[in-house]
Amino acid sequence: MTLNRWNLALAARMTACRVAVGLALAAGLAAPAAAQLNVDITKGNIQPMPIAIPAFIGVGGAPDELSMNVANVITANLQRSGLFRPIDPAAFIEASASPEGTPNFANWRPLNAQALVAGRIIPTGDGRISAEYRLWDIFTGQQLSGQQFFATPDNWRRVAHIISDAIYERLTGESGYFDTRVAFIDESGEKDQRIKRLALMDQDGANVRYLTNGGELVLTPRFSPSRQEITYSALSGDQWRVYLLNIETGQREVVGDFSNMAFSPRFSPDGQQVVLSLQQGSNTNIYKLDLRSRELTRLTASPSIDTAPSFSPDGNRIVFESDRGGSQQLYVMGANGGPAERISFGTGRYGTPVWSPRGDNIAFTKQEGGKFSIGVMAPDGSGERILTEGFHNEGPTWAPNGRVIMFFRESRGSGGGPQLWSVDLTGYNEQQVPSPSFASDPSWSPLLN
Amino acid sequence: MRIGLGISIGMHVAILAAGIVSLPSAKLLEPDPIEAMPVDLVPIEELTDLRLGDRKAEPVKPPENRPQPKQTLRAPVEQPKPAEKVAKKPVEAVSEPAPTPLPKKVEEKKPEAKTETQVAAIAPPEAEPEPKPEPAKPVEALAPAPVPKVRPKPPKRIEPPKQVAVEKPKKKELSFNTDDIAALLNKRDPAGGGTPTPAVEPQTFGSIEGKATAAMTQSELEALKARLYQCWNPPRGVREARNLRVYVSISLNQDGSLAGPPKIVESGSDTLARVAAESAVRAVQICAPYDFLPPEKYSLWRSINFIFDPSHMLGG
Repeated sequence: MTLNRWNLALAARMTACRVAVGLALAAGLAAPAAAQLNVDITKGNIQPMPIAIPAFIGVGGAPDELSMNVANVITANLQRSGLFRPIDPAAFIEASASPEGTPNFANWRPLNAQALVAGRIIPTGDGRISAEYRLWDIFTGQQLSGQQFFATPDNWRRVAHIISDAIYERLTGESGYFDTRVAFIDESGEKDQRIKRLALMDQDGANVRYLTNGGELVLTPRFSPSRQEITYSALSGDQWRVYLLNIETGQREVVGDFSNMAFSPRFSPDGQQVVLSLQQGSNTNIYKLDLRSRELTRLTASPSIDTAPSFSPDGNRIVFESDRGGSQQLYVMGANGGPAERISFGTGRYGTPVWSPRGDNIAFTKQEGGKFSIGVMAPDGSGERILTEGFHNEGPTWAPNGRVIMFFRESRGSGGGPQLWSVDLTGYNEQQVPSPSFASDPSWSPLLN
Repeated sequence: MRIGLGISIGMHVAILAAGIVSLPSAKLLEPDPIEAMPVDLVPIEELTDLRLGDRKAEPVKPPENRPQPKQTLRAPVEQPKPAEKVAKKPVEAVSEPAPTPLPKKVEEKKPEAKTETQVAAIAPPEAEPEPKPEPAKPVEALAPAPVPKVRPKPPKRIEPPKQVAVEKPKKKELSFNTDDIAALLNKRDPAGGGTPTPAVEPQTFGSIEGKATAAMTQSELEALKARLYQCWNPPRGVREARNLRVYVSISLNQDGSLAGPPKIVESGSDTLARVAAESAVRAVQICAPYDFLPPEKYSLWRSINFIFDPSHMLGG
């Protein structure tokens, strides 16, 4: 009996030993058997990528005005993204690079550029231009992408934006946002008598067009995420109207006529519905408006101010601001209403939430201690980050790739007014977006193509 | 007096007896069965020394090496070859007893030359389809894609030896001797009686004096890493991606220059993985030449596997 027990114990211990010995041997032998130097690289240089964009080739094999303009727009786009550092053309050994044939990389390597864009813009003879480019990896000598486009000469900016997007996508691995437009409220005139017009421009501030004449008060323009349509609310006389405006055809229709204040309309991801707020007495509630049937459905019914609704990109949820809990905070509810869950818990007041097109973030305006900040948080309220703060920042809108946020910033003083700014998700790349005069309430379009 | 003595003895005996009977049972010394955690003090040489070789490769031509142990320059160059051979074709290597290093060298060069000519042949882009009259229709030009070509070859390189390493101890367990626990815990092979000397310990192809220089020190490795950190410019999409790793292997000449184009051993197939792989290849090329590596340890850094892992980087 005793002997048996001893044997059992010994056997158990032996097994343990075997396992231990086995493990030790396995651990000890596996590594040297790999007989090669293995090096883990877990960090990198997060400086912007140096890129060489020489002037494109034009008519006659040399750069001309049009081809230089295209290269300049591409350079400006990539530079503004904060992810690229275009090299100063003064440092170039060759002034230009032809997309015909392989470039002489020996002339480009000393610049320490990692990529080279070689392009050509020439007329095709039928009144159009042909634009082609090739993107080269300077160190491996391989072509990364190359495309050719045909367009009318007055569309040269779009061509430049499309090429910028292609380069951005190929080098960063995510989609671009340069071939887009921004709708905004153009504000001109004295501070107490501003004329507000609905305006449209390219994302870089070029090609400004005015869509209304300033005869009515326009508010909160919002781009459809799926087509080139804008919805906005306007007050003419004492009637609040929600409009739908097709940019390509210029067709404008009234989708809702309200005697009470109707504002902050926003499209559903499929562009078929609009959510908006309607004021009734001291309460404001959120409604959903079907654009086909014009049927209005009430989504919230609380004795509080619920406003600024924004759909999630999958169309299943809506984020909005509400003061139902005492202070203005962000809430998320289902797309058909129902119980709402509070997601913002920080100090201060949260407003104008906008769901990112990628779905991973919600941008918001936060008011705290006399400052207005623009920040982002995950849809469950975690990971709140402030990207920019100051005297007055408001009205965030997302670029279609969910990387960059545009907003307006108001400057102090009697001569001050709102201007458009952009900031990327890192919070470091903050830039002013040029506009003809004061501008507020931007809304970023989806990619045009 | 006697009675007192008797009582005293009696009481003492009783107390002692009570103590003997009760105390041990109350406090039986039973240590918890602690799982022994095997801890090895492994010198870095054991991990990086190419000359340790693969144990499985031991039958390969020991006589050839013997005559030329002094040629330290040549020896390191040739010695790793059999190990590679074994790794690539584990079965054939065993049946073929002595593959001469020279033909192997030629074999290795060939694919490199091939890829070079391919790149050269593809690069001139004259063959691009000429203007089609469709407005704003992008015409994708040549997209040289060497990635899939290279990929299939090396990825299994590391695995076969691992299996061997795990299997081997099992065989040993058959001769399990419970009397000699110390020998069991000693993971080294018995060195034929007496204390095991380092000289006989590994079945190595290399020379003994070569071993002295045959370890990359931690600081040398760190210098290499720091250099790569500077050269690698992971694109933003890549920085934010989780579980995205790129395995790139390079082989180097003695002067630290690249002996051929870097090979992507393993990466995914989607756009982001392609962008990540390209950034990694660019990084190892920007970093070349690797002339800061100690020349006397060329055999160690002759071929390097880089594992680019952006998952620890801050996104944004």
